[in-house]
Amino acid sequence: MGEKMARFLNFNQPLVKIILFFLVVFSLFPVVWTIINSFKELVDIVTPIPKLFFSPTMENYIYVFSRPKIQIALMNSVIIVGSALMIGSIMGIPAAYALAKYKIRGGEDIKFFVLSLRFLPPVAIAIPLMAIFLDLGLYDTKMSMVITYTLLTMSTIIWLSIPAFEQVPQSIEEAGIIDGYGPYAIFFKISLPIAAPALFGAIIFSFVLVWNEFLIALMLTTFDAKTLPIVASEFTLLGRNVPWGILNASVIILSLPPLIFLGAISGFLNRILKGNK
Amino acid sequence: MAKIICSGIAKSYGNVEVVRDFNLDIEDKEFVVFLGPSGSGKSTILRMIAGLEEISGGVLKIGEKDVTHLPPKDRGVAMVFQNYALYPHMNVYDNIAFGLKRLKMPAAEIKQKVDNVVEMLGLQAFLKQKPSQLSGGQQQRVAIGRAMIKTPEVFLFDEPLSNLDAKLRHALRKEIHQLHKRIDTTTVYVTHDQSEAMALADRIVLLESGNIEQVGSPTEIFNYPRTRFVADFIGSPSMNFIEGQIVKTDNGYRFKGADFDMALDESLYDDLQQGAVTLGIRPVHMQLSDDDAINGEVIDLEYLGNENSLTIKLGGQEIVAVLPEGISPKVGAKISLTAPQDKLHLFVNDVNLYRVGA
Ligand SMILES: Nc1ncnc2c1ncn2[C@@H]1O[C@H](COP(=O)(O)OP(=O)(O)OP(=O)(O)O)[C@@H](O)[C@H]1O
Ligand SMILES: [Mg+2]
Repeated sequence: MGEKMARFLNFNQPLVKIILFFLVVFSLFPVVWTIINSFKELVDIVTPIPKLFFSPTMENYIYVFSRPKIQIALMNSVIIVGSALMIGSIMGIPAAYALAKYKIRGGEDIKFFVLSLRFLPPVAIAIPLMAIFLDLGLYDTKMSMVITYTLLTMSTIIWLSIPAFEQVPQSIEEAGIIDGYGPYAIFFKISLPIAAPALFGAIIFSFVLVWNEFLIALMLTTFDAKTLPIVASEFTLLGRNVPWGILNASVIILSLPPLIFLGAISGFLNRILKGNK
Repeated sequence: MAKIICSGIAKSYGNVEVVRDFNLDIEDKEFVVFLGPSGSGKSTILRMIAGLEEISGGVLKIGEKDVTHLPPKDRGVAMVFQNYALYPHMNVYDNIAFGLKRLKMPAAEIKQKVDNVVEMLGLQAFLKQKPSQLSGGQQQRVAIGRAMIKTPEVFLFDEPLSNLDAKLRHALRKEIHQLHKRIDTTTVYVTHDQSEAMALADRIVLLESGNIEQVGSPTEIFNYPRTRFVADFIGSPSMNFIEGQIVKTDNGYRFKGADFDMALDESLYDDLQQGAVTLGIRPVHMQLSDDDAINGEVIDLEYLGNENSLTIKLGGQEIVAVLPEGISPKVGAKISLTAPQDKLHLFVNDVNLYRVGA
């Protein structure tokens, strides 16, 4: 069955090539259209006949970047996501190592708990946190967002790093022990570098997760700590005269970082799905 | 250089005792091979000597020093693993030098030592390569280099050749043998391959479910297996076992059964008594006989080049005889066999009756 499938999907057959070509065009079209439109003036966008030739303008981008709201949101996103990633990695990676390598009492329960955090609907996380942060006077602060996003990044990083460390053969660590190294040196000089490519993937993956995060941010911020997705979404609320060009430009700004990492991620997912390096 | 003394060593995982009361003295410079079937505890004992596995009971001394509860780095041991266990992110040079770097040795001195080892193992061409770019045999050579560089008191090998193909296994086995002769380090080597054990060992320690079945030189173990288990485990093709009776007649003791009747040389055994016995004969010790000792029917003949392997039906069982090339009876032919007196093994309750030193 698998073999038949493989023969059917022989990528060298002209028919398959044509089908693939159209699939690619079909799925890339909206993205390309958005990119093109982000360089158009509004009049060029709303014409009934789509204009393929136009004089490109940077106006939309200049407008987006010159808005204080956007500048603040961009800074917020960078600070919040960056901090959450850093703290999540520094705490999550050693935790994953411990869970993968040592028989800790309740280790399986910890693993399941970490996993379950990711399965909860965001609202279920956001509402209790909202109450807590309001009580603590931290509501709508970057601090509260960093704490919340760290929960997300840390659990994701732990969850994805455990298999990365489990793939480091026990005997390689034992060779390090025989070579005279202690547990910290084994972690930093042997296991960490061996697992690094997969760990890198885990960090990227959780980056995309929090960079795009919308629902929790919507509930935990009102003004000061708004992140880029929240502010970008507000462009649609500017009234009946939708500023399509600006909207397109902000979509591009928002998607660019995750897109850049897409290559890295696809390699990482391949590795996870194949179960080995 | 060091002696290893195991006194009453035990290992339990939870309530399961996998090794109990293990006693063995390994002499300085000796090459000892732990041989036994899968799950017999070879690796467990080796890893206890290495310090990778906690010792649950008893005392372990390496070179007069009690190391029972010391970490590996304080035992002067180096180890080679079955799956090579090289550091995949380091090149060959760094793999070998890794252990020395911890000692804050000057780089020039490290380089000189690595060069020495690398030359001895013929790895000069691969210094800058990563382990994944090397063949299995080359990788294991690097692992041996990594172990040698520390000039350990004790070398430990856990099935180092098991992942290699037959030809390479043979070549590397020879290299390990010569290496040991050159550097003369006390070595403990684990394998389940008897030919490897025979070829390398000064002494073989035959293990079965965590117990020592027999300790001895390869010739001792081959010629004087103490138990039926040892006799069966060592030698290829494996020993034939024939059930019968010891009967005392006017002209001495005889081994009798439905299809056989052989004289026994009383002087070779400690305590011959009438009754049930198992006769063991190695296929290679079988000979043609003219006096109807063991009578059977040839049911198969395999040509092995310089000899023939015959399968012979004997009553309800089959035995194997390896005979010179010239002797090639037809399948279905009757055949009569015997073996030299000193190649006969008599087992009562699975213990060999041979007289020690006979
Ligand atoms: N971590 C462990 N927990 C429980 N039992 C174990 C553990 N490690 C080994 N054992 C048991 O100890 C016994 C001896 O195992 P060991 O690995 O020493 O055998 P071995 O002779 O090296 O076998 P092989 O030739 O398969 O490597 C086996 O019965 C095994 O099931
Ligand atoms: Mg083993």
